[in-house]
Amino acid sequence: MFALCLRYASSREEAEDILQEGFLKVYRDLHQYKPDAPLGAWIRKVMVNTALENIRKKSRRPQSHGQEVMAWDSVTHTNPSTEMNAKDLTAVIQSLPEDFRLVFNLVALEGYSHREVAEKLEISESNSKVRLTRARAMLQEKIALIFEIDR
Amino acid sequence: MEENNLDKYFQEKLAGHTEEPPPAVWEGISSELPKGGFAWNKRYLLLLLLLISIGGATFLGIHLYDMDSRVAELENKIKTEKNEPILETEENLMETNEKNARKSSAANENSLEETFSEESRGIAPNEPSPEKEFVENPRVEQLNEATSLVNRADDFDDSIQKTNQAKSVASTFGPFSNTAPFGKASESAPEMNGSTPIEPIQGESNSSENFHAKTTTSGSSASLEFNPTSLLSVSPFSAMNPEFNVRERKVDDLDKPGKEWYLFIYGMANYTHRRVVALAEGAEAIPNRLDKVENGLITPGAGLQVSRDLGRHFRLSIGLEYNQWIQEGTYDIEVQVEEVTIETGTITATSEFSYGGEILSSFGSNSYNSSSTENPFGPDFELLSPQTEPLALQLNTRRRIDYFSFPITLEYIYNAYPFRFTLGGGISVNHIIGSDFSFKTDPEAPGFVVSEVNEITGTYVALQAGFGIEYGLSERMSLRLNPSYRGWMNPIFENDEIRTLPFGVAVRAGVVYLIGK
Repeated sequence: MFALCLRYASSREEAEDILQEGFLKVYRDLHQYKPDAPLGAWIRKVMVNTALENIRKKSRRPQSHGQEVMAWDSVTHTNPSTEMNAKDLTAVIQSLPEDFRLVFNLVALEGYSHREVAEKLEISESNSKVRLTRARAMLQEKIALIFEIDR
Repeated sequence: MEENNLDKYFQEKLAGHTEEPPPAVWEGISSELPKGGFAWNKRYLLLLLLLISIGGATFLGIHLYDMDSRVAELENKIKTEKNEPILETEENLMETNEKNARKSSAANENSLEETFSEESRGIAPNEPSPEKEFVENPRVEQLNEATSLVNRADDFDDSIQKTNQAKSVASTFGPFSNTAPFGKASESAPEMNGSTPIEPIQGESNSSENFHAKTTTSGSSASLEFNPTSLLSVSPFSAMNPEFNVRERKVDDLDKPGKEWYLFIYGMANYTHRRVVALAEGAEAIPNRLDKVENGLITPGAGLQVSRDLGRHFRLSIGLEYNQWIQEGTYDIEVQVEEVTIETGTITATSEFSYGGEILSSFGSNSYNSSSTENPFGPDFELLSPQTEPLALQLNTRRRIDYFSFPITLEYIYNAYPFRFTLGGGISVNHIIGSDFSFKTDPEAPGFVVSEVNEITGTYVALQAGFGIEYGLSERMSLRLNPSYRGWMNPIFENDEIRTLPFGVAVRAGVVYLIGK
């Protein structure tokens, strides 16, 4: 679950907050869990919702700059002969701007539809599609750049 | 789900990826978890106190009802018997007294035993003796009941009132003891130093003693001494007096205070608002901000209530009400266009202007967004410059909540004819049957949509208290005005930052109709 939180957060500290808050919600809302669905999937859903809520709260506060650079700096891939590991890819995702990162996580990794994402993020469906396209383009650029640098 | 090679690449690489969170996270979770044991919630404590209060008051009310109504019934019976039958038998009474006087002079030399022997009274052995007649006499049961009531009345603090009632009961029986049949009470008088001790009623096991009836040897006068510590006893001979056995009367037609059923049909004006409580650090400003931009409106309502008096001073009511709650809000928002999608067709280009955000109201978050081909910024936005100033909007919302209430109240009643005053309270179960949300923006924004994140439904419990004034129009009908306060115990909205608890004032006005006794 911490890996999931890391993908939604822009920093490790933020991911820790999300994890802590998410587990407390799991504890408090356990009575709402219906056994007909897998418990793991339910906990994952709670974590995703907690991450989105946390980001929504954060967006009300003044934004700090430079997070993208920090995440980007944590990419440690240095060997061009091997593929990037999960930690590096997580760091690449973290380096995305928040709007794009959320849509990419929700659609590409969690399997939500654009309609669901639009509801969750309170944006239009077309906006969600645009963000996903941009996110993919940025990820490709970043990965290509890493390999370029390594070479 | 859209499939894409890049997506697949990430999915495969990240599948099964785990990261160990630092120990501080688990410590933080442990410290946040509630400790063992039952946590007393203020709300549950209040509910418990309320239930105990209602239970206690109901018990007391029913007990008093039982007492009062039986005493009142007996009083009414006695009044009936006291007025007409006694008047009717005044002549007979005089005759009986004369006979008693004659017989007492003849029997003065006899002993008490002889006096009471059947032989000396000239009663045949097979005839029913006066003592047996007394025991079997239904009026004796009434006397016993009166005695029991007096004793029970003394158990209550309002002993003066009850004692007076008992005195009235006993005094009604007292004079008749002097007119005992065959003058036997008078005959026994010398043996008891001029007074006849009244025999304890057979089968009665009174421990409390209140009255001592005394007849004088003159046989023509009677007195009743009130002695709070003496045994309540009534002469067995008094019950044997044929004049005492007044003809049966239907008491059903008489008033029975404490048994009335009422129907209260009313219209009402409600003012419902809400109290917002900050729950988190940094959220203290939210209630103040929301109080400035939100307000409740006065709304109409209607209902009916069925009540039953529990004794002379309490009334239990249950009702059904239809209520409305309208809450308006005016929120200032600023929006920045997040994305402009330009789709280039073969001939024309279309721009989509979209933006979104959310407002926090006392009912939770309301998300809004706009997706329109119409430029919301006007000509200034022609160049699609990201430096464009945010668009300021005013979002006006109106939320109407319809709900049924089921109030259960216990009231204390004070009668001052033609007025009746009540004071009481209870609980109200409020069930929301509908919620309507509408909005508009100023200036009007193209494609603007507001959606509610939190649906308002459910059943809530409220405490309510109030007073009532009734003015009697006739024997059965009165007008009633009933202002009351109602505070909801369950929050209608709660998140990490705030909790919203509704409250309201209602004034009910209508007609009370006495539907039965």
